[in-house]
Amino acid sequence: MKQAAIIHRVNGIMCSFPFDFVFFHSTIVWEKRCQNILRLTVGKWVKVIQMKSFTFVHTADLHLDLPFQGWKGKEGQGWVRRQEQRRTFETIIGLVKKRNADFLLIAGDLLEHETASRSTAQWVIEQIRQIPKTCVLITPGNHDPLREDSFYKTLDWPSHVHIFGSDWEVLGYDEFSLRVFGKGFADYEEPESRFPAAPLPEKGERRIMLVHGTYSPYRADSPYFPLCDQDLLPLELDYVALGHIHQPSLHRLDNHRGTWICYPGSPESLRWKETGERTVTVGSFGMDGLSLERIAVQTRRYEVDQVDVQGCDTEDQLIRHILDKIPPGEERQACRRIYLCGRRPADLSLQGEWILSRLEEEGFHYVEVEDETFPDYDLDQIRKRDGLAGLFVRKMEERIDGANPEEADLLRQSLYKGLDALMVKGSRS
Amino acid sequence: MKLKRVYFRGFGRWVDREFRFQDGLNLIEAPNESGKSTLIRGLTALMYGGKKDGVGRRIREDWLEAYQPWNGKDYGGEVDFSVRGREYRLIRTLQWEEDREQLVDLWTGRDLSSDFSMDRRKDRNFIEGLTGLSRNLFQQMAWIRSVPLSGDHQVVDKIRQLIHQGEEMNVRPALEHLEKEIQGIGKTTAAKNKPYGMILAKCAELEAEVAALRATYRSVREDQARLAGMKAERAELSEKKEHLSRRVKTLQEALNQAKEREALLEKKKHLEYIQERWTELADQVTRLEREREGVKPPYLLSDEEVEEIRGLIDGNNRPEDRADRIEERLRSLAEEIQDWEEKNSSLLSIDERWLQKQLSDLEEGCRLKENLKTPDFQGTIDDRVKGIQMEKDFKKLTELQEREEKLRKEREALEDHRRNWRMRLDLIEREKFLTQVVDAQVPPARSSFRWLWLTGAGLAFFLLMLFLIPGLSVVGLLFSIFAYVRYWRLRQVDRQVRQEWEERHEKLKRDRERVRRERRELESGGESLSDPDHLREGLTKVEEKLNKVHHSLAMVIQEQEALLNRWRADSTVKLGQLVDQQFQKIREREEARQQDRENRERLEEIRREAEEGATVFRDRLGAFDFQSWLNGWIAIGEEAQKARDHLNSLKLESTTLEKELHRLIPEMEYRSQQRARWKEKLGSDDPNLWTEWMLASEHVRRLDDRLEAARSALKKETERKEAEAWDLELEKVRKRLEEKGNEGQESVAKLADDLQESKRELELISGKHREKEAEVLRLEERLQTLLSGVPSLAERETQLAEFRAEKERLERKRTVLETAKEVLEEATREIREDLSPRLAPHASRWISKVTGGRYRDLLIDPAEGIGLSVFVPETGERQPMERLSRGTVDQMYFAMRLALIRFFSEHGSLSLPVILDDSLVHFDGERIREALRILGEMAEEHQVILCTCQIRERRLLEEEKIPFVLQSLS
Repeated sequence: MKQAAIIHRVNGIMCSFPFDFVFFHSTIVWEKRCQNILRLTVGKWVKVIQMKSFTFVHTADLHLDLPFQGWKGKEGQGWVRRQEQRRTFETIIGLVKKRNADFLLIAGDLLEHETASRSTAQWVIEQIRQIPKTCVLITPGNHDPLREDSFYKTLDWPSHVHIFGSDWEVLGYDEFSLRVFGKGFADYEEPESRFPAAPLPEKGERRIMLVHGTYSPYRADSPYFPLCDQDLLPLELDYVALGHIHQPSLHRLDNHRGTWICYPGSPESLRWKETGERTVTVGSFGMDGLSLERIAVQTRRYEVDQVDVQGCDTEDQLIRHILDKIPPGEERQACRRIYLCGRRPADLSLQGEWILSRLEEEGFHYVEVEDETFPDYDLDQIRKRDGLAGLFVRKMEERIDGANPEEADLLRQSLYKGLDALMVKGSRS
Repeated sequence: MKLKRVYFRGFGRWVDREFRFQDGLNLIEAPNESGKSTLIRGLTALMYGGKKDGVGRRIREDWLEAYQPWNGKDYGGEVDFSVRGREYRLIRTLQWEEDREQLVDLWTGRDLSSDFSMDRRKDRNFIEGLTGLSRNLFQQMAWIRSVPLSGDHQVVDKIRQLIHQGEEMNVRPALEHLEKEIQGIGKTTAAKNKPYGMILAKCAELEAEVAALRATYRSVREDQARLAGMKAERAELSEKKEHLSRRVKTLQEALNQAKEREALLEKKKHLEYIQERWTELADQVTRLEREREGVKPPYLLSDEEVEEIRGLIDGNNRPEDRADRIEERLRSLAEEIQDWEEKNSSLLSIDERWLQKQLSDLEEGCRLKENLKTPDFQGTIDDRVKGIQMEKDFKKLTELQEREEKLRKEREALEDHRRNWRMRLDLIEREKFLTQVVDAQVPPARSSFRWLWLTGAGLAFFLLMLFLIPGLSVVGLLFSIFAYVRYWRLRQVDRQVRQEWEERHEKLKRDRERVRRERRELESGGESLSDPDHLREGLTKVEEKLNKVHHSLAMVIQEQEALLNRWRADSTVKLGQLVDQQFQKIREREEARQQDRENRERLEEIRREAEEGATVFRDRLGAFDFQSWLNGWIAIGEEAQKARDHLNSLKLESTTLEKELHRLIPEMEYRSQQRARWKEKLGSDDPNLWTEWMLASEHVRRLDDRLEAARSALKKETERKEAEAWDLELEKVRKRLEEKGNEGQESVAKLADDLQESKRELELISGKHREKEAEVLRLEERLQTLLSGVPSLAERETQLAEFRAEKERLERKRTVLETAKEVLEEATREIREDLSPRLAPHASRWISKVTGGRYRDLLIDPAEGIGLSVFVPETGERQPMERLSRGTVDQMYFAMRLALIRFFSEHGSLSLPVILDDSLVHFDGERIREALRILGEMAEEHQVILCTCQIRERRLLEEEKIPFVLQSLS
């Protein structure tokens, strides 16, 4: 920063990188090949800083061929979803091409070790072959560890792909003044973290770390390579490309480099917690330093909705209510999970299958409906009765009060089921 | 609720029959089988219909078929009743196919049917709708019977509803609904048609598939790892192969260089060698020319000349010398022949033919002499004597055999004679014996006749006693019956014995007749057989003769055997052969004696001739002996032959030499002329000089040959040299070698060895590479096979997760339902426990009344319906009601039902009728009186319909002055 400041003062151009070499120059030099040449023509020794800029795309946690969790799709929908996952990777490859990215950083969990098929791995390789000028750096994660039978080891990966082993490796890219530190998982867990003994960076050196692990600002235990600020500070890094956490996040260390720590998040939703846009991080090292941006790459979003059924006396009303809440168009193309909640008339029975078929008719691509409603009984009134219903309510509530939240939830359902049976069936007979 | 009228269009025996009921007590008095129960059954049937309750579909009640109308087709009727002040008419058709029901408001005449919705059984449940009582509930409470109430939840629920301010909730349907939902989910894997069972089955199936798929994926990964390893090894081998190929190429090039260098050196060496050889040839020609000049004689003789001269000067073969030598030899031979003839004159004079005859005679003599034998005269005589004796015995033996034959024939004739006489005698004796036996045969007696007599006697006794002592006559009758039975049986036996005797007698008679017939046949031959003594005498004489013949025959045979034993012959024929052999031997001896005599005469003749011929050699041969003289003459013959052969050879040589001598004379003359010619030609007749010149000429000729060969070779080499330009070629080679410098200086052998080694190594590595290639291909193929058609594990795992989630959802749902049910049951139990104290006072009041205070407390347990028990006054123990006597039990149920009716009336504002169908039949006098009092009391508020087959109820009612309306069924 100090040297950069000097240069800034001399040539009036913002530059955050140290110079590379010094030579005497009396005339203006224009080097086409190198866009970032600072020219100082002071008639004396001139300091020319040749700093080639580069772009990288950082992604992780694609989990190709991971069995879906909480999936309730019909036959064939799973296959479609898997194709969408693949399409997301194609989008990432397309992004790399579009940005002419020099590096594609994949911070682990690209494949699902146990369930990934060879054809999927071969498909990944074929995709990567489409970007031969891009250096693809892969660090195996806990879901695709570099075991002996890993496809990382057993398939022929293109020469522009480097897969990090279980020990720290340092790759040097002199044309970019770049050093990349990387390591991968050798097994499913790695609770002990070790870090490379990196020497002080040379002048103008850029440093990126690529690793799969669990970051927290302070030291914390984790079976998946825990790392914290204290571990990263001595390494003088510019960018820590992480994978493992599926929610995107960006942190910055309070050091003189201002190290960026980035989880790009899963590029495609894998579970219902991963809602909204899914992104990769695109970074550019240029004259202005490192600039980062998040680019959405998902093929299809996951969305979770809460729909209060209060006021819906019939199932048709309920359907209309849902349709009003989720308008036609793109929103209905997302994978949606709708939680029906609130009070419903006691005699209104919600038929999940029927609701689903109606929603599909209305253009929903994929939808799940979870019934969390409860019948609209006046428990206060029933509780006070001397008869069976009152006693039943009182007994159920006693149990609910003494139960843990999960049990309480089930007991609550039991309460309403019992009341349904008593009030509807019992009174009809 | 009050029943007003019941009209049966047809129900069992009741067809087109109407009954009207009044308020208060209605007494229906009729004997058994008069239709009381049918009336009650018909009443409830019209009220509730013929469909079974508590089921979801239309099913006939069990009684429906049994109560088809006896006459007519209309099955059903009408019932008029009032409920809570309103009057209704229920019209019902029980015909199953045309089942109809209608409810009419009797005040307004409005059809109320549409106000009641149909249930799944297509029943509108009018009564239940109006009273809240199902058929069961109505029957349980209003119809007083000895039917337990335990297990009946409906009653309990109804009571509970009434107690709790009419809470219109039936727990049973609610519990059943919950249970149905639980059952609908299923509890175990066994219930495969239920969702839970199905999902468990699916889970298990998919788990198995996923496990298999996982194994397949693992296998694929492992194989892939192996494949990667193999590929790495293949790449390594490939690299090695490449390296070795390069090395082989390098070595090949080096070897080629070395070979080229070696070839150049070889060529240079060769060129230098042929250059050198050409020079040597040129030198040789010069040297030979010089040598030829040196040795050339003044006169160069040709080969023919040399040969000719050499023949002339050759001393050993000169004809003159040879002629001298032949003449000398001829002279020596003449002397030698003369000496030889003188010395061997006796031998040379022997006639060869005479000698051969002499030798032949002597050899014959030797042979004859050896064969001479002294004749055995005594042996010849013995043999002759023996032969004569043998011949005599033979003749005697022949005679004995003829005699034996004769005796045998005589014996046979005597034996025939004796057999004939014996047969005749036998016939006569058998006839006599059979006649005696036949005459002596007496038929067996009949033992049964005495029993016939006894029967007659018995009958007579019977007849006699019949008139005298009638009682004793029975004995006679019985005896006569016994005797007759006995007679009857023995008569059978007698008949059988008689039959057997007659058969035997007939057989003997037939035998006698047969013997007589035979005798007559013999007698018809002319000989009388009437005298057996004469026959016996004749037989004795024949036997004596036969004995004599036997004796003579034995003697003859003995004599024959003695003769055969003497000559050791086993038969007459053999003895005849021995006789012939003996005479043949005698003849042969006679012939030998004649031959010997002739031989001796011949020997004498030979000896005489030999002695006469042995003139000059008599002394040498010595005394005459065939063998020594034969040997002597053989030796003399051989010597004479030798002498003749030697003399002939000497004469032959002499003749040959004389011929040679005559041939040499012209040759000697020719040689003399030749020598003179050469002397003139060469100027000298010195053989030494001639010899020297001859050798020199031969030398020169040899040198000429060599010179010519050398010149020819030189010419040829020179032509080659010029044609091949040896000099230029050599220069070129030298230049090339200079150009190559140090290149290819390595040893070709070493390079070849290295190359061979490298090639071998390359071949080995190539082999390994090929093997590895094949392994890789095989493994790739296996992987392809493994992967072909393998479904996506991720997809299957997703499915499995879905199924598991569904399973958990079902389990949760079931838990929810089970908990709900459990808590509901718990609440129900608590509520029921609460019923007992409320119901008990009603029940106890009535029980005390009914039992006249004996039982005061009726304990009610509503846990399972209404279980009743009481404290027994004698023991103080609590006993279930079912253990009490039948009368007491009936009282209890009577009281309980009255209590229930009252309870309903009080809590439900519904005054149910009380229907009793012979319900008091087990009540004794006082009890029934009390029961009727109670019923009279009840009749103030409730309509009572009392059916009975006895009149005591009417009497008691009248005694107690309880008002009632008598209904008659007649």
